[in-house]
Amino acid sequence: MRKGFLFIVLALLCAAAVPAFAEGYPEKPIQVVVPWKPGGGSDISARIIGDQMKDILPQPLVVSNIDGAAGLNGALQVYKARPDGYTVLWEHPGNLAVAPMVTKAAFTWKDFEPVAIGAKGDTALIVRGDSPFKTAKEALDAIKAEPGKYRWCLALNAVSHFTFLNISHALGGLKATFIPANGDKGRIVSLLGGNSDITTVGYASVVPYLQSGDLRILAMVNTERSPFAPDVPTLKEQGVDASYDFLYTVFAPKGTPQEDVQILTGAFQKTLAKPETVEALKQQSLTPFYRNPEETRKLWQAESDLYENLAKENGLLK
Amino acid sequence: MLDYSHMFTVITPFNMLLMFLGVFGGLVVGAMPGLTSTMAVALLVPITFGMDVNQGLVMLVAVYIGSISGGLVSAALLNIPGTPSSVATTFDAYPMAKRGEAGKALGYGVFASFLGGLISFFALAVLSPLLGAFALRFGPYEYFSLVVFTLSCIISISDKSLTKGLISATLGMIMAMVGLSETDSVSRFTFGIMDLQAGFAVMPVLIGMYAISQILKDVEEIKKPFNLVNVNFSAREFFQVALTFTRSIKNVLRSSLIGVGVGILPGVGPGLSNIVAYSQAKAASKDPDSFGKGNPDGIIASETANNAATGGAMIPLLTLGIPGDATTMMMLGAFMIHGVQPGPLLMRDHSELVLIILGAYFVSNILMMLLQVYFIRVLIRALTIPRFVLYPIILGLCVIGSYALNSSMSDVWVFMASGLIGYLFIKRGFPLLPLVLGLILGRMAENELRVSIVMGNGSLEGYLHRPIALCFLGAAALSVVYSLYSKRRAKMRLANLRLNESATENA
Repeated sequence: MRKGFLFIVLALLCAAAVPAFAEGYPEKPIQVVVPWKPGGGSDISARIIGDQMKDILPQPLVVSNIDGAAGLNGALQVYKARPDGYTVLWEHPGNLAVAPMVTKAAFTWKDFEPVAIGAKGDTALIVRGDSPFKTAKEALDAIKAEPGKYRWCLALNAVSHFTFLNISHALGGLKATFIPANGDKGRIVSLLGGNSDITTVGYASVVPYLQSGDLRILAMVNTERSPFAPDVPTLKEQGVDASYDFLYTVFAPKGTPQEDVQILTGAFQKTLAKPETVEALKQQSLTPFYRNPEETRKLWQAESDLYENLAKENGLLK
Repeated sequence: MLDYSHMFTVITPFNMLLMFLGVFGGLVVGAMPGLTSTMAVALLVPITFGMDVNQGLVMLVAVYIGSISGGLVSAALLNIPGTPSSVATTFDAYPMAKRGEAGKALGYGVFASFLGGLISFFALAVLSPLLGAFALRFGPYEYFSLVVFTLSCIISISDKSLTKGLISATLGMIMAMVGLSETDSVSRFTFGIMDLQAGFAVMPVLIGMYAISQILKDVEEIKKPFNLVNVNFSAREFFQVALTFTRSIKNVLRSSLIGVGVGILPGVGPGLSNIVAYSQAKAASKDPDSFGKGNPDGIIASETANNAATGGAMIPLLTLGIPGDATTMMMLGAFMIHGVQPGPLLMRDHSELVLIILGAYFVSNILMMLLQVYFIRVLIRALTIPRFVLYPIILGLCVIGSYALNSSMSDVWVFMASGLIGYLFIKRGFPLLPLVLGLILGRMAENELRVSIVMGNGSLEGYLHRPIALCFLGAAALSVVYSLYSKRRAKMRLANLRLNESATENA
């Protein structure tokens, strides 16, 4: 029985691997791999843009969530996929530029073909509602004045860790107690439960707690003020030269035909210019941010260089 | 405070259809020998991916209740518990059915299930918000202590052999260490295999352990048709039986409390509650010798407790994000699939979901009773499907389920490998639940412990200042000591018995 069963599984596998022809791309649905659980910023941005693209491309974009291993599991599936333009990855530099570097993965972001950047998300520096700190300057000065006293919540070796390192670098070295917690929700709970003092999270996930007064926002870690919180200053405005933008980017496996990549890039450009797309993204506190493959590569290179330097500086590269 | 009126939004025609199908499907699966409620929910979880979160949860709750209750049918008619939660049901229901009172035996079971479900509904509705307000005080210290306490419960689960239970749990915890560590994303035990970086997903291991091993175990008698007793079961007979419950109010209340209490303890669940309740009912009875010979109170105790435990098991799931048993473990997975992170904030951020679950729980219990009364004859048909037709179909569905979870073929290999391990475990008498618990709790235990050590600047002193954590650690120590003590006492009693026997022989 087991033999017959294995045969069926193999037959199914073969059927799935029938090569597609490049003529008239796309001829079948394009799988967008989101390497995170459904419901997060990556997932929502991919779903919105994929949904808006359905009247621009003849075939739909289908989001599939393959999570695990700090986003590397999904990236691995795309890395191993046939470069036929039917499997693409949805990632932001804080993960795909950082995770392969610190985990010594078999691939880096350079092993993928950039297609386009789709959207931009904001990062907020937050404290508990009853915290004595009212501004980012107060908080960072206090942390600088008393090394190791304050507890900074972050996911070790992930983007929130590098955001801290970046801020620390800009201020000539901060020392805080690291409280590890994964995901925006994990860090919010840690802060609410009084288990840490300060953290950075995606702005979209913190909005309800800001409204309830449980948490307070000190600054945005973006390069420029967010349209969703125009009153909140950026760290740069407060004299701290550190920033991070969630750049939700589409990557195809290396070796994907250039014509197909161009078709896909064009589809993203058109979709992101649509007012409906802009409106749908806005509702999730996301900003449309189209960049072509060349611009995408440059932006990623800059981010990747920054992280590599930070990692070297802090002894995270072994 | 929760707005309970929101609960009634669950009553829409489509939701009612889903619940009807869920309870019915659950009853069918639960009624089949060797197929568990865990499996019913495992099969359903992938189907709910396509639904919206409300519908998905409503259907999961319905299946959970249906399948726990369905175990009654094969337990009573075939002496085969359809789910582990109805093991104790077989003790008295089968003798009663054999006497020719099959309808009556089923009647007792069905009405007891309903009462157990109802009482645990009130516990779920009233206790959950209380526990929810308390939940934010759970930090890394408390979570780690809770995990330690839960792991100590494994000792009471593995009543046959403590050593085997511990081996099983340890293997699960070792499996939990594979992949990127949750605390600092360092990859471990992957042997350079990239697919292992994500570690072992809980679901394929869970489905494999339970489904494949069960099927392989039954393959030995695959051609034997199930031995069916002819049943007569009318609605009139059912209401006559229901009336006699006035004599068993104490038994119903005690068994419900045991069910909720055992169910609420993470990792114990309905599988154990029926046995505890049965033994207590027997101990409290004036006529303990009639138990095991068709005493209605035996059926009532077991079936009340296993259904009461379903509500109990959902309390830690909804308030702490910690599942009470393997089935709620999979409901946890279903929450996450829908982007809802069950945890301390579920009650506050998603109280509408919690209320939908409560509503679905209530309605499903009523549907369960009605369905059982009117469709028991249909349910029995499921047992007549030849096993060599049924099992390949189930195995196929499980493969689809494991794959669909993360669109990953490596999960299917994990599923098959764990099925073989599960089969070996069953053959050698190792319990499966400790391994699965170890896999889930191991990851949590390690992460919370490491975070708590970081918080204490490298010292564990912080535990001394956390009353909740201390309580859990104390309870864990007590439970270990007590289990070891009672086991030792049982052993000594056995030794004395042998000594007396040999003494009589010599004399």
